[in-house]
Amino acid sequence: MKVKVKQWNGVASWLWVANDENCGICRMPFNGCCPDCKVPGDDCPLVWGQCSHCFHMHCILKWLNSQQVQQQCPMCRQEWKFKE
Amino acid sequence: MAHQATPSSQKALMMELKSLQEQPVEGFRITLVEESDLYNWEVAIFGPPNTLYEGGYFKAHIKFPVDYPYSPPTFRFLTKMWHPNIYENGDVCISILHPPVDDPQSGELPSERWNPTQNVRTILLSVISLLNEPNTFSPANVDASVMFRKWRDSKGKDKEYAEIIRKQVMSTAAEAERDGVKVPTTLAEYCVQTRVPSQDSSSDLLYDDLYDDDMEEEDEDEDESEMESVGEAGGMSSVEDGGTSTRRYDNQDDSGNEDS
Repeated sequence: MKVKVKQWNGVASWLWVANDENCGICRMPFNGCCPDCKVPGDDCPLVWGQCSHCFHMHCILKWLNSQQVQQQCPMCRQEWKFKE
Repeated sequence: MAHQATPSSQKALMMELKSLQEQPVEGFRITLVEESDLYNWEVAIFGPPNTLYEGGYFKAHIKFPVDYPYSPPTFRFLTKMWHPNIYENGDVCISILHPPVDDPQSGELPSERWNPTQNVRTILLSVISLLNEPNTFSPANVDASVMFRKWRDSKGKDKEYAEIIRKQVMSTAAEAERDGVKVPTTLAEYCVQTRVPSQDSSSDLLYDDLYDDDMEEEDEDEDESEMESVGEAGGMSSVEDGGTSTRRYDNQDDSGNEDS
């Protein structure tokens, strides 16, 4: 029996590879988005600090921008530096 | 209230409330002051057994700002409390409830203060430990602090502090009765049986895998030495088998599909 494929739909799934499930700031899942965003994915990315802690980019920026004093990782209180 | 997009604090508070009601902190019961208002919580606190506060039933309100968890909530006792770190009006003075502004007068380091990974659970734990271990370095109630130090330094001979607290504890019995609450007085009753969440077990595996990947770069040196030892003794191979066998199982599944 020969089958001719007339049409097909590709389906893919994706995950952020973080070493935790939820963002420690907004407490939402990393695979979802921060509370200010509607769609998970590249528009609401994750960022890592050199201390290896990970947050939604929007969440950590909101926190760092509200700090006049030294900018620290909210998890471990080491100085916050973005990991390249 | 003005009609606007749901503030993110609402989601965070909803999740915290649910988690605290499903897996409570020992000695605390949490409810909303008003069903419709997520930003005002009522806390009932049981005095820990074997302490001055044993048998006590204390009420407090936690008020959250709209930008929670970026700003801290306030924690105010409604029950009268004689305590070095609780103000006359019931406000609790702990560093994690203070925003991290630079204030050299306070004697508190910015690193001891509020940050958005703090939550109600950490606040409740701070409050319960504060009750029996007041911080006399920055008292909110100086008289209580002096009295507490006399009591502590005299090893309980100077009873004034303890007597005031026991009196306050006794006077909370009426409120407990009004609420229909039996205050636990033994450790067994006080300790909540915490259920271990089981649904996480599969994601734990995932977490371990990913974490291992992450660690590889940092542990390069160690890896090399481990490889040598595996080669020699083969002691690690059982662990390796565990990992590969699951992979093999998946492969079998796939090949099965191809056959048919």
